[in-house]
Amino acid sequence: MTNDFDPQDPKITAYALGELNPAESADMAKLLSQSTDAQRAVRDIRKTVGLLKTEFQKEAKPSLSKEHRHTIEQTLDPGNTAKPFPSRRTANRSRKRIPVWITACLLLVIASVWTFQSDLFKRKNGRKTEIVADNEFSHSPELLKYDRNEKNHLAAENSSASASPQKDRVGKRNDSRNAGQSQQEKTLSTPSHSKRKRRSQPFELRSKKNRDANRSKLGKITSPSKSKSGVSSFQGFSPQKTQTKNYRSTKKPGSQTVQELKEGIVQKLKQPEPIKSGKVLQIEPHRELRGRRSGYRDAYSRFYLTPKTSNRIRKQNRLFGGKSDSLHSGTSFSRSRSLQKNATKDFFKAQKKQKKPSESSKRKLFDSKTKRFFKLQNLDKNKKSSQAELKEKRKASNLKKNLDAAKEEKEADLSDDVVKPNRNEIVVENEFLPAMRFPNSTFPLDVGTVSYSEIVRYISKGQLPPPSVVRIEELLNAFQYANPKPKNDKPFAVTIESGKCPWNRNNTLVRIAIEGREIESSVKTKATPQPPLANDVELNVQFNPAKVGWHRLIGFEDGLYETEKTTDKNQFFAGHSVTALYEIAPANRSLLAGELLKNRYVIPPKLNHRNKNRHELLSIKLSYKLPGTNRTLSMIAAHTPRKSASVSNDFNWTAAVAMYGLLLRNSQYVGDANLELVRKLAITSQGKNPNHRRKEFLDLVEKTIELVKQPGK
Amino acid sequence: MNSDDQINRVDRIRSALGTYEGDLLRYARKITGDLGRAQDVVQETFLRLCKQNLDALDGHMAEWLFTVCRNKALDVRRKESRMSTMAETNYLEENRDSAEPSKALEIEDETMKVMTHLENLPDNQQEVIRLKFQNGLKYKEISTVTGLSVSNVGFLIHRGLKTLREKLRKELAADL
Repeated sequence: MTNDFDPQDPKITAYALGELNPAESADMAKLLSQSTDAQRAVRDIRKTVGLLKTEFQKEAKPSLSKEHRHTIEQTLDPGNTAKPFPSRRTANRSRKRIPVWITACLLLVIASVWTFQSDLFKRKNGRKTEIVADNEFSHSPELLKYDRNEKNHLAAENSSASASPQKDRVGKRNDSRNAGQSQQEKTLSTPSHSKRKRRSQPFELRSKKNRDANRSKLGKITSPSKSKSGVSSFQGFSPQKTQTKNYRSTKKPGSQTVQELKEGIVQKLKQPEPIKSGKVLQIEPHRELRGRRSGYRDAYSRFYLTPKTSNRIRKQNRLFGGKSDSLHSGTSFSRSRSLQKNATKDFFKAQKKQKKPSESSKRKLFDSKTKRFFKLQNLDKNKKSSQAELKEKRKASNLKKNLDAAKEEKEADLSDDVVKPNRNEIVVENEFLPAMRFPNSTFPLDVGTVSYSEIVRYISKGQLPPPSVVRIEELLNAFQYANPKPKNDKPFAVTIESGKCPWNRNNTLVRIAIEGREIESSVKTKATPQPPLANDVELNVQFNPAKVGWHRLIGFEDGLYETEKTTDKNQFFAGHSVTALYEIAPANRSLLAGELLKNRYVIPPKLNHRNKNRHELLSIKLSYKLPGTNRTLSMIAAHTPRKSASVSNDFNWTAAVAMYGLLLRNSQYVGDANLELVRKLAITSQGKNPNHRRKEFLDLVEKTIELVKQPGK
Repeated sequence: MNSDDQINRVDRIRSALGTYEGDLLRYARKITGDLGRAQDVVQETFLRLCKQNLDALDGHMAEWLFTVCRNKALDVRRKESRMSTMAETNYLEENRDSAEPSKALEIEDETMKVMTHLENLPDNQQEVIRLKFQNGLKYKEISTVTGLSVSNVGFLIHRGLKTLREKLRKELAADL
């Protein structure tokens, strides 16, 4: 044992913590008596430990949920039968038992139906021959109509252009076999005709017999001579000669007597009206529905429960109007973006309507007038008061007053030489949307930076920019970020980060960055135009309603994007990047329930609590086509927040910039934001070597603070 | 006799639940990063305890519980991380250069927060320090829980405390 104290030796810590054995401890005590450094080290260690312990004690101790505790209790005491709620384990077991029960019930039902059917068939068969032989007209008209519909489907299904439903109808009705069968079907059928139709249709199509019959039908149209019975013998009976002919051709050769055929024609003549083909086509939507299910699953199974539940809602929504359908039960991804847009659009429209219920022409007039008014308002140097005034006026939507004020100010301030804003549209802010109803969101991938330079222009002139000029998304995208580059030849890399929202501590801020691959310098020659990295790029942000109560896209607020986006091909170019921010309010059960109860016609989608994705906050899906190809590829990035994970400088920088934008825009969602906070956050997150732009932004913030401090500003 | 044993057993497990529930949840949350998952993990841990021979665990209860809890939590984390995308993971690892916005501001205001310094320590140092001072485990017990050697545990705690001491030098000096 040396007498030198080595601060790197873990033994000193072990000694201070009483972890050494007696022999080592005695050695250490000896050392301590000789070295003041060692003494200080031990003292410091104990003090640090003391600090740590007091801090640890302050940390709240979480506890198990009732459900978790109950599961443990049940395992401990299986005799306890009280079940305040189903534990996970028992729930599992009961769920496993359900299919067995269902199968058993189904088997029973099928068996009983089958016995009943065969019984009935026997009876009917016995009677059938008599009936048909005597008088086929004894069938009720409903029955005939019914049977007729049935056959019409068949005809439509086979889409034979020449074989019209009418021709088919005659033949089948007169077919004694079919008549009997139809009666039997009627007895068994449920009151809902359409339901029955649907059920019987695929069966009939599958039946080989029917297929053969249909095939022969088509064949016989071109070669009627093949039929055994003479067709010409009753051509004279009917004015609808050709139909009769066709009827004959649909029939199996030799399966009908001349007597039967005669009866058929007579009945045909008695039939009052021809069937409208529209009835037949009604069946189409159901088939379409079946086909689209896969797309729906694709977009929705991530956070929601079984497709069955949602499918039911889909059907219901179909009844009560189409739009909520897509929003609730999900759509294929390719449609979701436009639908989301429409939804948002509708939402804003509805908002505007509330403020001013008028026709679109009136609105246009209002817009143009308010625009003018707003432009003139901007001439006023007293920005804050004018904005407050404007807000009030907008709320009241008193057009005349606005115009009067505008005229007055126009006269007063016309000579003033100030910067004129280029964009004067009144921008409605994005609202917080409930994630349960609107799980999908999107934003355009092409963002300019004009707003940033405009703000710089205003501030440099000693003037606060009018809110309409401030576009937060353009501010965010005016800076360069150290996003990770795409790997493995992928065209993009997606970065998702989440952290506390600096202006509202209860909320979470999510930064999404999409970085395009850079093309090597050899290609980069200026003469050749750069090809896009990908075409038809579509972005879908999907929120997990179990974690996200409400979400709000910050920026991206004008209708401009919608019109611009439709014209280009959603191309993504090399080296391009987009950054967007979402503010997220955490999921709150009672709030969600309230939100869902609002619609009495909609069954709320159920969260899938057993889903492997249930811990995710959100996921992003990018679908795209590589240039020169026509195949849609897609990539998904999911984000699960971790408590211990810290966020990047870029995250804080974007938060600061967004906060600045919110303040300049007089946003209603500004929360605790203030310019001082912006400055602090921007300084701490500017990075080690801030580039020119970032320094400029800091200057901008400083200047803005000064501007605001000046009296009268 | 048999029922007495059963009652005794149930009581012991219940008391263990009462004693370690909060500590285990905190520990599992630290690993999984989420309270919901931590609750799942702790539930599983206690369900396993129910099947265990309690006499064999006498005196090693804490050790055993923390070990099982840690393994389960790591399993959960491993499964989760398999699902997160490459880009995201790399990014978070490369850019751990600043705290959250709120925290960044706090650091500016009060530079002497012990907890913020602790959070900046490497994960393995944080873990052993928490096990030692928050949960009161001995070096040997920590070694069982984490699978590290006792001297390694001692080294990690020493290094962690040393860094903290350096960061808190001002405060420690002021208190003298």
